[in-house]
Amino acid sequence: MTPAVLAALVGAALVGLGLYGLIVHPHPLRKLLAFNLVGSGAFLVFGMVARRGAAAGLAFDPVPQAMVITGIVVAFAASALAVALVLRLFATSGRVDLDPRVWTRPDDDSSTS
Amino acid sequence: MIDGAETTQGGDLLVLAVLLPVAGIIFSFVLGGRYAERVSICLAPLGLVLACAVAAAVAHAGKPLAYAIGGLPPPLGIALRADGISATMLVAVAIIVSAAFLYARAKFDTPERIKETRSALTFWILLQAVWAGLTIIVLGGDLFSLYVALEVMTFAAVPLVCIDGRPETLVAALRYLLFALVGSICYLLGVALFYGSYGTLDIALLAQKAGPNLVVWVAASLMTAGLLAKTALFPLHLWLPPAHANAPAAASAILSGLVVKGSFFLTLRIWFFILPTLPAVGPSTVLGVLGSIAILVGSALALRQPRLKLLIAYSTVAQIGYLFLVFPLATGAHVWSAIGWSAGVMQVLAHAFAKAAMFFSAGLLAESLGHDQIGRIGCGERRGRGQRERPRGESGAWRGGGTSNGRTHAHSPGTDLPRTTTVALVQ
Amino acid sequence: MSIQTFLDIALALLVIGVAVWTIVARDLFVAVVAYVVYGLFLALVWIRMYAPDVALTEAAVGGGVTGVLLVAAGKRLDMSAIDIDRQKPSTTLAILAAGCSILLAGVLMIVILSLPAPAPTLAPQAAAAASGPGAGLGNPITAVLMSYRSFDTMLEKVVLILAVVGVWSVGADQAWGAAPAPFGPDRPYDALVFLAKALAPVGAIIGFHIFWTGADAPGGAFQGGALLAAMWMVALMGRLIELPRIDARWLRLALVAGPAVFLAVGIAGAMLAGSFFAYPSAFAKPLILSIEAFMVLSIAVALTMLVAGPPYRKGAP
Repeated sequence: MTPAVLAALVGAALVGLGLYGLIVHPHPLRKLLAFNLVGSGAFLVFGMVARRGAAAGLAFDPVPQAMVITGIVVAFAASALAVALVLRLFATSGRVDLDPRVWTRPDDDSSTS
Repeated sequence: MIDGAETTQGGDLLVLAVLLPVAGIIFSFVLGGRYAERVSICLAPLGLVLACAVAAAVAHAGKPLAYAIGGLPPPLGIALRADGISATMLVAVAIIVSAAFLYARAKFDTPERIKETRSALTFWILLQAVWAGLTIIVLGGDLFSLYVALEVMTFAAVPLVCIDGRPETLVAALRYLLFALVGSICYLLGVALFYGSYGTLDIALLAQKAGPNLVVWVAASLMTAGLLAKTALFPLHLWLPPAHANAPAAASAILSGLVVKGSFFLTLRIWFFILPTLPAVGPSTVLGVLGSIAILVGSALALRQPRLKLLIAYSTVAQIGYLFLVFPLATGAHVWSAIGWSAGVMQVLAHAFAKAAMFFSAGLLAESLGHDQIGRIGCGERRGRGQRERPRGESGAWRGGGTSNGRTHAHSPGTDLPRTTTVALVQ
Repeated sequence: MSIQTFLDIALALLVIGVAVWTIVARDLFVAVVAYVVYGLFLALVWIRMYAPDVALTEAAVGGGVTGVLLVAAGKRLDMSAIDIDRQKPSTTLAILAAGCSILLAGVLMIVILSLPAPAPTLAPQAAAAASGPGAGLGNPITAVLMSYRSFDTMLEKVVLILAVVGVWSVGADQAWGAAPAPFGPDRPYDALVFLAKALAPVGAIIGFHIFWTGADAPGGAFQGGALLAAMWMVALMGRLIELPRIDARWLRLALVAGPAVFLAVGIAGAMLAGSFFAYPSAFAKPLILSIEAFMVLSIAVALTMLVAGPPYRKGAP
C-alpha cells in the first residue's frame, strides 16, 4: 500500500467522521469544523489520484493538485462567510441555535417538518 | 449528443456570454454606490442580446457550439459548449434576470444624498453573480468548472437570503449555506472519482469513456446526492421554505426561479449527457419516487401556511418534485421518452417564469398591504400606494403528468382572496 | 516493514486521532484548537504525497488563515456554546449519523481501492504542453492554474470577491463604509508588538519569494498571497497599522486587481493569440507572472478582509 492510497483511505475516514460531526453537533461553528474535515478528506482523495498519475518525468499529475489548491481557497472563503453569519447572529440575538422551531414567529404557524 | 470540443463557428459568443456578467461584477464592485445598479441595468439588455445570438447560432448550425478556452482542447484544457437546452436556458435566465433588475430598482436603489448603501451594493453585485453562475452552469463543459460555478451560485444566493439582516433570515441563510456546502463537497468527491477512473473531466470525453462499473455508480450517486441537497428535493428540502420566504421578493424570485434550476440542470447533464449508456432504471425510479413524494408533501404543507410567501416557497418544494419526474419519463428509449424530455424542459422554463412572477406579485402585495398573511388579504385595507397588481408573465397550471400552460390572472389586492383560490392559482 | 511505512502509518493515525478529537471535544474552543493542529499535520501528509504546492497551501490557508478565523470566532462564541451544547443529540440521531458515516466511509474506501490501474493521468499531456501553452514554466501546477485551466482560476477569484461582499453584507446598515472591527485590543501586549515589528517584514519577503519562485519551483500566487495576508494580519494584531474603510477606493481596486487583469488579458488573448485566455507565445511567461503579481495582491487583501469581517461602528446594532 503506497502512502498515497493510505492517505486516501484516511481521507475516506475523515469524510465519514466529518459527516457524523455535521449531523450530530447542534452548534453551527462545530458543524463548520466538521464540514472542513469532510472537505480536507475529499482533497486527500484528489491527492491520491494525483500521486497515482505520476508519469512522463513528473512525480505527480498536476491537474488534480491544482484543483485541490482551488478547493482549499474556496473552502476557506466558505468558512469565512459562515463565521460572519454566525457571529452576526450571535451579536443580534444572543443565540446560535439553528433549530427553526426556536425562531418561528407565532403568526407563522408553519409546520417546518 | 455533444461532440468533442474543437472550437466551432460562433463559439466566441459563449465566452462573451460568460464574461459579461463577470465584468459587471468587477465594475459594480469598484465603482460602487449607485453605479452598481447602473452597470446591472446596462448589461442586462446586452446579456439578452448575447443569449438570443447564441440561441440563433445553435439553431442555425443544427449542432452544438463549442469553444476550447485558450485554444487548448480537452482533456488538458476546458471547453464551453452550447446545445439546445443550454441555449434555451440562457435566454430564459437572461429574461428573468432582466425582469428582476427592473423589479428591484424600487426597493434597492440608493437614495439621493447617500453615496452607497449596504443592501443596494450587495443586491446588485450578487444578482449579477447569480446570472454569471447560471451562465457558466449551462455552458460549462468541464466538471470542475461546474463545481466552481456551483460555488459562485452558493456564495451569491446565501447573502441574498439574509440581506434584510433579521435573525431568522440569518438562521435560514446559515442552514442553506451548510446544506449547500455539503452538497458541493459530495459533488467534488464524485468528480475526484471520475478523474481517478478516466483521467478527464470533460463532459463529452466522459460520455465516450464512462461505463457501468462500481466507481462510476458511486461517483454519480455522490454527485447526484450533493446536487439534490442544493436543489432541495425531498427529503433534503428543509432549508428552502424559510430561506425563500424570508428573503426580499426580488431575491426570492431569483432563488426559487433560477438558483435551484442550476443544480437541477447539472443533474440532467450527469444522467442524460455523461451517463446515458448506464442502465439507469434504478436511479431514475428513485428520483421519480422522491419527486412524487415532494409533490405531495410540498403541496400538503403549502395548504397549511398562513403566509403567502411561505405558501409559495412550499409550492416551490412541490414544483421541484415535478422537475424530477423527467427522470423516469425521459430515461431509456421508450416511445414517450422524447416527449418526456421536452415536457421536462418545458416544466423547467415554465416554473422559472411562473415562480419569479409569483414572487414579484407577492412582493407587490406585501408592499401595498404591509403584510402577507393570507387570511387578512381581502379585508379591503390598502396602504400607501394601493397598487393594482400587474399580471406579469404567465402562471402555469399543471394537471396530471403532462404540462399545459393556462393563463390565470393575478387578482388585485382588495378583492376577496380565499385561501383555496390562492392555492389553485399557485398549483 | 520499513521505517517509512511505519512513519506513514503513525502519521495517518495521528491525523485521524486529532480529527476524532475535533469532533468529540466537549469545549468549542478546544475543538477549534484541535482543528488547527489537524491542519498542520495534514500538511505533512501532503508532503508525503509529493505535493509540496498543496502542502504549502494547506499550511498557509487551511491551517493558518482558517485557524485565525476560527480561533477568533471560537473565542467570541465560547459563551454561546454552553447553552446549546446542553442539548445532547438524541441517541437515535447519533446512531443514525454513525451508521451513515460508517457506510459512506466504507463505500469510499472500497471505491478507492477499486480505481483502475494503471491510473489514467494527464501528466504526459501537461509535460508535452509545457513548452507551448505552458509558457516554459518549470512548475507544472502553475502552468495548469494559469494557462491550461486559467478559466477555473479566474472564476475562483470571482468567488473570493463574492465572499468578501457576502461577509461585508452582514454588517449593520449604519456601519456601512466604516472599517471592520480591529483584530485585538487597543493596547496589545509588548511581546505581540515586537513580534509584529520583527516578523511582518521578514514574512512579507518570504511571501514574495514563494510567489516569485512558484513559476519554476513549488510555490505560487495562492501560497505567497496567503503568507502576505498572514503578515498583514500580524501587523494588524500588533496595531502597527489599522484596517482600511471598506469604501476606500484603493481597497476596492486591490480586491478586483487580480480578476480584472486576468479578464483583460484573457480578452486581449482573443486578438493577440487567436483565442480567449490564450497567451501570445513570445511573452507568455512575463505575462503570466504579471497576472500572478496582481493576483497575489488581490488574494492577500481578500483573505485579510475575509478574516476581518463586516464593517463595524461603535453603537451600531
